[in-house]
Amino acid sequence: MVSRRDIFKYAAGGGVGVGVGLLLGEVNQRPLETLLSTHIPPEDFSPGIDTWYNTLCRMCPAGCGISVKVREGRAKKIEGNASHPVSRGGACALGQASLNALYNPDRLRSPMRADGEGGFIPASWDEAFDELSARLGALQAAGMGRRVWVLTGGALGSGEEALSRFSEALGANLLRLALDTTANEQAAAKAIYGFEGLPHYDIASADLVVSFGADFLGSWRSPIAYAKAYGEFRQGANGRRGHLAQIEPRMSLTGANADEWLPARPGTEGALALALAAEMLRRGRGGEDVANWGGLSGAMSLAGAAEQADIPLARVEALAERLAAAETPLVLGGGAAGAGTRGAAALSAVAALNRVLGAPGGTVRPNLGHAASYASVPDIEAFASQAASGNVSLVLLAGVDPAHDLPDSLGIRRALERAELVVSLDSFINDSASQADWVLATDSFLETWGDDISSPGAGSLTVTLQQPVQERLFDTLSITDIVLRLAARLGGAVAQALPHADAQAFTRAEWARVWQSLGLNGDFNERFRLAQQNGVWDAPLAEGMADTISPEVPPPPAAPGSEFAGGESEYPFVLHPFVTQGFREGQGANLPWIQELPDPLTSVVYGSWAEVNPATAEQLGLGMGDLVEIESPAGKLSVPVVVHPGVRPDVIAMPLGHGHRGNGRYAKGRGANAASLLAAQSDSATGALAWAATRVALKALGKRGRLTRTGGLSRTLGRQILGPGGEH
Amino acid sequence: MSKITDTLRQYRADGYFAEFDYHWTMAIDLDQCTGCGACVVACQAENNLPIVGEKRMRQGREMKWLRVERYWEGDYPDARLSFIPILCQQCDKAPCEIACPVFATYHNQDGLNAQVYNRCIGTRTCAVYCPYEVRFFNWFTYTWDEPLEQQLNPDVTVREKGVMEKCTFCVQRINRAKDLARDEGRRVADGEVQPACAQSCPTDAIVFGDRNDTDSAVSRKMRDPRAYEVLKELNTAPSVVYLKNAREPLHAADGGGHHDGANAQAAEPRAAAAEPRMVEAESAVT
Ligand code: SF4
Ligand code: SF4
Repeated sequence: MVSRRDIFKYAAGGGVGVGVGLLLGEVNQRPLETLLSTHIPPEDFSPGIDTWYNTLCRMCPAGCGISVKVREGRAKKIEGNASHPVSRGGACALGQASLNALYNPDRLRSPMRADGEGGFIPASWDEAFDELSARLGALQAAGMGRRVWVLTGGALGSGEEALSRFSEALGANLLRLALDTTANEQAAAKAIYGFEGLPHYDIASADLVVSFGADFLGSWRSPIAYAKAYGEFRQGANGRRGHLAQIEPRMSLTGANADEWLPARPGTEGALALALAAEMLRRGRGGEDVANWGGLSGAMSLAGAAEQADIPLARVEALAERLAAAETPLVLGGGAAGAGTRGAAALSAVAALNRVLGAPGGTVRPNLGHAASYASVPDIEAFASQAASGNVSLVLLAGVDPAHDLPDSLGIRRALERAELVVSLDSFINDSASQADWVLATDSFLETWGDDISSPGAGSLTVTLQQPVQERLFDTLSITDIVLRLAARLGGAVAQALPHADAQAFTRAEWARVWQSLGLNGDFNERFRLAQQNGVWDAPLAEGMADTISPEVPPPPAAPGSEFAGGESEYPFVLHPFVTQGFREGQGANLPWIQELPDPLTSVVYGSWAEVNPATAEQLGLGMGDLVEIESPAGKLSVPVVVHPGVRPDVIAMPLGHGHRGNGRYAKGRGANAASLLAAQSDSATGALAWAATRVALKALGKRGRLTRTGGLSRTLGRQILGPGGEH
Repeated sequence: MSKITDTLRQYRADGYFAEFDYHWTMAIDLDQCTGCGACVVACQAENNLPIVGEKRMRQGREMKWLRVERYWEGDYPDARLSFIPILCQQCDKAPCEIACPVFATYHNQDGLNAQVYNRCIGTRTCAVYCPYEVRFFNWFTYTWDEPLEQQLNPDVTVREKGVMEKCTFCVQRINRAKDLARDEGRRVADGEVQPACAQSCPTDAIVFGDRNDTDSAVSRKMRDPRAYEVLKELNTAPSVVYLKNAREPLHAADGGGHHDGANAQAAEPRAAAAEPRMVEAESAVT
């Protein structure tokens, strides 16, 4: 794991420039033609004049650079920052809808304390800090910092640095939580390519992309960067059209755009990748480095793998043919394919296929972005058991909603009940915050300072600066501000570790520290002003860092596969939870623009659904919109079905991110939470949550569910809407 | 009236718009479009489209000047989904324009099909005449839950009950670019103005520009052999050009499979039923 503190050593020392200068901010303003002449308004308050600020999108871990249009002191529109190497001017639906979070009617306007009857009452920051610092101070004085648990989510960059310094100085535990983590992908990169962190995939230069479950056009890792690359892959300047094959049990957005969709049986993706790798070796496709992998002893024959995956052998052979003939092939693995109980092994098999194809150093490169280390299932269970035995005094939820986003089977909700004091740092009373004693109202990311290292970035070290684009709307503080103020009140070692006045001072100090360590002395203020204008500091990598694929030949990966919770006779279907870019694991549910944006595959709005194959539906007597009960060994829920041909007959697919108990009027009580069905399964190598390894049973409830879909006919009926000549 | 009908006739003559400075046109490359919906949200944000709420959605009152239509082909396992963003096609021979009794919808000299909100009396005839179903009527005056209204774009009006609305090609952005160019004594440069959808599109599937400039990016896209117009046979002369997805036909790609229209319908028994705009089901709340 590359920690944030180490990552900057990979950046080149001398001669680092700022990103190409698309100078926004004051430069973009036209001179005032004076009607309102005599007073000089603040920069962002010239009536009728747009001011654009470059900052960082915090809605998902991709870390896109965005440009925000501000008029009369209010953020109005979010675009991609055209000079940012990750977003290159694009912005996804979720990033744009973050304005709905900023101006959300249910956003907290001040700190809130629990009233003891399930509600909350407004309080002042002083009261909050008095109580919190008294509790923390007492624990610290008693040497019981261990009884404090800081739970955090996606926020990286200097905000993470502040949190970890705080926890370290206090002796507290820090857990980074997410349902879909990068742990297995990092483990595979380390095992097969021999580098730390996440690979950078060059989709644009590939002539063939074979993706095992990675929904890179939908929600996977860095959707905007990959979408930009995909545009070039299809109709780029090189005049060559790339071919895309998607292997997954349920058609994702990427599967819908693929040239071929191969609905493999869940848990067989790794074995298929390994069989293809062995086939490539047989055909002499492997380079010298992998010559001693022999026949990849763990691999099945193509025919065996095809049968296991339930894909016609002819199609697998055709795919092998394409792979063998491709000039610059690229194989991706992710999503459910890497979230079985041997997910890391499956992704290693995918990486091995890349290695045999000679992709490393070409279409696969080390990224060296900051790859976060996440809490494993055993880590989370340790927290839960500490709480169960009454050893957790204080839980600080730093912008994370584990009571919704993670499976109940991990015991987090129970743990929050048992903890003595729970403090949530959030903008909403979400599912976890509703269990808290205090909810400290946080800023929107558009109102405060920070930064992030985009990972996977653009093949360089992409550090994006986050800055406020407008004044605070309400009486809120950022998570970093809250941590700094607590530190100041606590004094001693904690205050020493975090002597800064606020998030702005802390961010600047961090940038100064990093630049100084790289010998970039110069005029800090000028350099920082440029970073503010560009929104990004895009550091070229130090000499040689771009091709650190290990020349060492790793041992061939173990045979992958997956074990599922629940017996096949009792639970005949595999549950395939999937992430959509709008809702992610729950972050988009309180945004009305996202609720009203039809789901790309099913056109459902306002609610969730379960996808069922037409053959399965017929067997069970189900029609579009019928309500079913889905039961797993871990829980049950009811949800309407969408019947469509984009899912295997033995698989039930459900979107994540719906079914909130709280989180404001747009999210609350809408749809069902697929995470609540997941058993506490973990990866045998990394301990990461195996969120695609649960079986379910389906029961028709004999009534209609609440399913709203937009749009008209789902077939073109010969109208040639998709172009002449098609018989669609 | 005859002056107006003469003008209308003039507008509808082939090549009329080539005489003017600009002829704004959009090209959407379906080989690049992934159906992600970023453009739909971009449009909603830029043009102050209301949040209609779940109830109105269920009644089929969706308000989206731009939507992504999705079409299935084939059956499992040889199923395929295709996407196509549909917005007002800014037809040069627009069926809606001849329908309006008060000329609330008319054609401007940039080739835009414009809607004058305060002239619209709400007969809704234009929406009936539009073959692309891209006109939306305000049956209600929508409001925003405070403080969501602080997001509203001050460059665009908010519409009220009784008014028809639709995509404008982000005319506020076009006008601003034209003003700036005029102040500086030059033409609007290619790529200088982009509607919100085109700007946000993460795959650069949407290209916007002036068709009168034969070197513009959009003119180049229009010359692509994949270029076509939706419902061309209606002779509407749209200003939105699509580039056909370059995927191999479904059943050529995998060397087999089967295609059966009747089965295809069965895959979605109730969705393909009579009601074309909205499928809903109600009786129980989950
Ligand atoms: S991909 Fe993620 S970081 Fe980028 S704009 Fe969308 S939500 Fe924001
Ligand atoms: S933003 Fe671009 S890729 Fe996404 S749906 Fe719209 S046109 Fe297609």
